[in-house]
Amino acid sequence: MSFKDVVTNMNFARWIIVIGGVGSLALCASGWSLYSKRAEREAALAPDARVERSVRSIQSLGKQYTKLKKDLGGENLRGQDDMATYLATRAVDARVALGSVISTPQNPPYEVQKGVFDYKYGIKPQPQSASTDKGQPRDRIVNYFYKLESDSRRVRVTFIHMWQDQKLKEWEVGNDQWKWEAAVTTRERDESKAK
Amino acid sequence: MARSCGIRIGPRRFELVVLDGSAKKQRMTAFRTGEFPQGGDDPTADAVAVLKEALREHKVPPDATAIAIDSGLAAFRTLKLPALDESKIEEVLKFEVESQLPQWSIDDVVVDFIVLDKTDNETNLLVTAVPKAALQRELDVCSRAGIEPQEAELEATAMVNAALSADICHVDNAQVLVHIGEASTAVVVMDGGKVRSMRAIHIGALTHEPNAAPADAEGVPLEPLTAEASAEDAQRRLEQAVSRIRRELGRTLSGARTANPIEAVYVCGWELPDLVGSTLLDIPVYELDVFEEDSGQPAQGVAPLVVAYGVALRMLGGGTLRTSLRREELRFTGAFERLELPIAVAVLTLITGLAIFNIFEFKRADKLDGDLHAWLQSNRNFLLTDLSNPKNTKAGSLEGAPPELEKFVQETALSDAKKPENGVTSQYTRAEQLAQIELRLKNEILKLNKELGTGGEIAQPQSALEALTLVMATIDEFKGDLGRIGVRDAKANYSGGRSGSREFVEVTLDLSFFKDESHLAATQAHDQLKRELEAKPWVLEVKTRQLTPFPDNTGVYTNGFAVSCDLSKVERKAEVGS
Repeated sequence: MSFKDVVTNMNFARWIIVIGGVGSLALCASGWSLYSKRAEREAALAPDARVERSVRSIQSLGKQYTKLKKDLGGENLRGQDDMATYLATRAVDARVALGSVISTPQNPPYEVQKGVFDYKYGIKPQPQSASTDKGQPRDRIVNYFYKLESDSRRVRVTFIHMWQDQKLKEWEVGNDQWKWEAAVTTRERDESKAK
Repeated sequence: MARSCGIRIGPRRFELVVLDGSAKKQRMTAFRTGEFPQGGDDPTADAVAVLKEALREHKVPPDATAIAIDSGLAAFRTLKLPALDESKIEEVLKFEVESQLPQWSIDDVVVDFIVLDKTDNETNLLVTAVPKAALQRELDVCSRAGIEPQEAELEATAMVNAALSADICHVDNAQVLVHIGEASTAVVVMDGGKVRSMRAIHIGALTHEPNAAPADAEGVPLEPLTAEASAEDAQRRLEQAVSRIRRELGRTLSGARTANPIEAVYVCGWELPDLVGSTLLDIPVYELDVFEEDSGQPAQGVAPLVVAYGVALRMLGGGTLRTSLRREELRFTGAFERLELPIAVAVLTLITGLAIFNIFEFKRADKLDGDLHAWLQSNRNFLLTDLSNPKNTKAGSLEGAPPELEKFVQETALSDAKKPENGVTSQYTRAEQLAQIELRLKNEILKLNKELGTGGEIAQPQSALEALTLVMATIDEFKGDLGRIGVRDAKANYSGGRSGSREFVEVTLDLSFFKDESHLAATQAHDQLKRELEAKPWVLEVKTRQLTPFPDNTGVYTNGFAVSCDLSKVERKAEVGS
């Protein structure tokens, strides 16, 4: 029977069956899709379900973001290139007043674990002549170390050596002027350098 | 290869022919003649049983079977109509022929027609009318026997189709085709290969016998024989019947107005004496043999099979006359056709139900979408400053967010009508928008943590400053017991950081213990300091060196007093705001 014969033999009831059948399939698919979406949304909107949990999480994340943003506003060290400036500026801060310092990066950065590197910088006071170098007050030195750590969450003072320059006996008390050297370390992930 | 079956059903007998092949070339694969039992309590049931057996025996195809019924059941009329196409003729036929069938209600008959000739102005029709009840009876017998005939026609038209396929009727001559049935004889005048006239004589091969048809189709009662009639009477009545048939045929021959000379009379059906092989008005009478040589027909007795053959041939697509008595409520309906109306109603009901379901689901989904929108609006109000409300001076909890994130959050709170067409949220559903806000916030937080160096996954090294401060704080804490302690040299160094290795800070001090009482008291102070430090949870180890007393015994001093500190064990208060 050719297609033409089939079309010729069609009557109203058969057209309804054909068109209705196709329409039913389409409506079945559409209805199933709508039902699935509706059921999913109902489940998501139920008390303590996905939507509620998500909104709570967003609220918490929003607060966390704001706090971190503020912390970053107080973060004074951005990137490793800034370290020398960072160390130098803290040394001349009004509450430190140590004068110039020399910072020496210790290359290469030390790979603590895969992709994680310790960048270490040695710090010394600017050399002065022996006659003028009497050391520096202990409180200013310690203030300097404190400021280095408080002004950046990424900096740690990992080496301190303070000693009195005066040639004193062990039972003699010095004048609280100290010579010092230190080192700071920042630890960062850098996958590009990972071995 | 196609297969078809033709059955002639008469009052007393049936013939069955099964053909395999095509309209042009076919082979008779089965044939059967049978008698319906007479005189039983239920003659119809008896007929059904016999027919059923025959159908089963010959494996008759149920979907390609048609029947021919007794021509004596029909009334034949001629009708002239204006030149119309066949569909129009179908529409007006019953109305036009009603007046010619006063014996019946037009609604109680099925009518069919054959176009005899057609001009530009006129169409000449031969109309056949058969009572629906008579046709229904035959169809019921077939149904009960297990088949549903697709078509039904008269013996006369089936005979014409058989004769035409056998090329007996030519364009340059005329013939008379005769089918002898049990109670009637169909006579068809063919002229130039076309039907000229058709009628039924209500005398058949068994008219002379008891239980023959009590009346003809038009209700004229025939004289029945009683059971006491003698064999001689029966023979005499047979001869009378034959004589009457010959007379009627003679009338037909003399009254026929054909354009071509009638060259012969062809007879099929029941065999009667003194007919085939004789002449009628000098016109020879032959047996109607429509079968090709060796096409499966029996060697003898083929005449009764002609009508059944013509019916089967028509089912293979052959035959010129396409008459159909299965019309109106008697129309053939296959199993699907009977069901198509209920199925159509069911489909309509189904589609209506599905449409309603879709509408309901859409509305429910829409409502839920509105609920999600409300959540997104609350979310926006919490995160960002609500600029739409001038009275609201409270800042949102999300400050300093990137502009694209703020824009995204703002747009999620807009209604669909107010959203820009290609906005940043256009590619997300409302649920996805919520997930996107969460994801973007997490990403921003990750970036901030990375900038701050507090990604959480990388622990910064322990602070030498903190360790030194803790040791000095311990000395200060117990200064009342320890006395004066001088620090001459202080060193703190962080160690560790390698995978698996322990991190700690080693604080090394050069100390002098001042005790005016004696150097022993100073030694005790040293030991106490050691103990106090060792008691601290963040102290791993305290290594001491030799103590050397002052020359004046007012104290002792030591170099290299080493305290190993693990700052991860220091108790820390929770950071406010975390």
